[in-house]
Amino acid sequence: MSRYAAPLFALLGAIGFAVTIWMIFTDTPLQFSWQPNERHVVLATGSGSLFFNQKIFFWHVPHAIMLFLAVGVAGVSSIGFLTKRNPKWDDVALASVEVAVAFGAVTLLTGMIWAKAAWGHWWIWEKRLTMSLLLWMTLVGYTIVRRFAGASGERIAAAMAVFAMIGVPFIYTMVGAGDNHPQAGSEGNVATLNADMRPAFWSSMVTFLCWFLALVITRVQSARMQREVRELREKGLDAGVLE
Amino acid sequence: MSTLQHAARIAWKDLRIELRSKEIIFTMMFFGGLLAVIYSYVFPTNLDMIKLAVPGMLWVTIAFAGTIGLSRAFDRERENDTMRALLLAPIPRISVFLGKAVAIAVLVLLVALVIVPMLVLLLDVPLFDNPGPLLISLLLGAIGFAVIGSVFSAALIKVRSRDVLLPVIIYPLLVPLFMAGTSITAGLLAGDSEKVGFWMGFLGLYDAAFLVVSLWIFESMVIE
Amino acid sequence: MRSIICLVLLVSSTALADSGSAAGSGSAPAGSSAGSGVPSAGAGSGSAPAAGADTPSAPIPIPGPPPPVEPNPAARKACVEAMNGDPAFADRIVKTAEVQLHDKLMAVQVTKDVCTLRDHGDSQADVAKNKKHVLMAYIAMWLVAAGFVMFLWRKQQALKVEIANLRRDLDAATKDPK
Repeated sequence: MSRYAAPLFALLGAIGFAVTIWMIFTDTPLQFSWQPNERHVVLATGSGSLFFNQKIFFWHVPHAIMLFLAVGVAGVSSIGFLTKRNPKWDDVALASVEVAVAFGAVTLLTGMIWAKAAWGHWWIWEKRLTMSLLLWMTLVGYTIVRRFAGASGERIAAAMAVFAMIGVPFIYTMVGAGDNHPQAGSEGNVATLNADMRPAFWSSMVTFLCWFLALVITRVQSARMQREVRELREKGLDAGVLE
Repeated sequence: MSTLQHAARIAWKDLRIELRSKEIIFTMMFFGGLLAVIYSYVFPTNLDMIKLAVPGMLWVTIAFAGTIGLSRAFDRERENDTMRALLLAPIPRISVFLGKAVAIAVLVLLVALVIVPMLVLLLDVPLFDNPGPLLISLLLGAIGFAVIGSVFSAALIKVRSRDVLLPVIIYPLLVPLFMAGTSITAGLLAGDSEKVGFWMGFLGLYDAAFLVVSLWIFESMVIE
Repeated sequence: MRSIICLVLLVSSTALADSGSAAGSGSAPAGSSAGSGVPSAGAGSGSAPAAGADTPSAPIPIPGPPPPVEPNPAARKACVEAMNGDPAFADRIVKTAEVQLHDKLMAVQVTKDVCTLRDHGDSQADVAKNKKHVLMAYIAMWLVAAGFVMFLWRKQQALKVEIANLRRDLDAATKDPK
């Protein structure tokens, strides 16, 4: 990981952002019907269509997917940390959890605004929303533990990240049980997305992947710096410079 | 002796201490009763409404009372530093974890078994119509609670702010469990067997997944 | 705003539609006898627009104000007798009345349809051009991103300073004893 990686990804993200915004507002059809099926219409305004509000989709979904990706990265590197005891893994886990908190905040906020536009309420206690909020709270709990649990906080937080990762599939299980969350298709996958929207969607995905990588790399670098500070402090204590 | 026998012995040790002092059981039950009184004040108590609220009451009581029992059970190990003794004993760490988890699961289940008749008595809800599925869901809920709670309580034993951090850590992980339990109880009250089946499966899978991960993770959590 | 105008239009036009019976009997003090008479007869008898007190002030684009009913027992009696005497005349009278009634009902219907269409168009435009929520979502995203970047940047700056300070102190401390 060279020192140019983060700026490079940030630059790619910026270019991708411009391209994506152009595609979203010029190349995608305005009206996107969520197939007014019985699941969605129950809570929607009745038309089953979101018109201009659907543009939020291109931000909301990539952020949600990046949130899950970040949770996955955090979980895997936490497993690495717990087995190998190498602090490098812990840096990656901490970085991706913090980035996941940011991406999760965007996911929840854009989702809430969308809900206001489509359903008329800022929040609905529907299973997927609740579970996403819970996942986000687990991640916030992770940062709280890192901050207040002292020396054993690293291990406890790592276990939290692993459990959070295990919990993600259950979020998808819950969607099966009488859920009203809009799906891109009957199976909720991208393959059933309107063909004219796919280029913009994938462009958005790549953009936010770059953005995600830039943030994680930067955060890993500052985690290393934190570690360096700690080591220098210890050295300073040994040398008698600090008390 | 096998791992499971060691675990059974540790669990029995915990339960025997509890049987002598009856401290946790009494406080948990008293707390549960107190919560029932609070609920009767907080929620509208006509029969139609209460039927909708009771599943939540039952599981929230289990969560709160269980947390009390959980922190007390691990405080006992901390007071004389007996956790270190347990970990130093020439038995697999998994046995320690399983023993503690089983003891806590038994305590939580006992409390649940006291709370259910109390809710039936005080609020007049037909919870006893399907005793079998209700008992299974309570058992699964208690196991899940004990598994997740034990892992983090054991790890938090050395942390100064453990009482504040324990709920912060375990509740987000436990809420899916309680949601499933609540849905099962609600399904039982409404006679919706499909819903009960789905959430029972969910609860079982959730327990299984977290048990497997906990068995692996416990060892690295308590390394001194 | 537009829907309010539509509502006023609709109310007034429906009020006009049955003004033959309801409004006539209620407001006209002149004839108190046969207010409940067949409205077509009243409509056919005269077309003099005597300022009806019951029409609201809103401008009404629909054709013609209604002929006010001025029941005149004598004229009415003469008319009935004439109609009874000559079936052809009666036919003509009834036809005229039907055409006028039809026109009036059509006017009401058209007003209703126009209002419905406008409402549909309004709400469709509202949803289609609703940039508010999209803008809000984008602003929210940017705020979170900017906040996080700020957090990262400040943290890194602070760490850089701290590392530099510690290094300097350490170097100074390790050099001094020599």
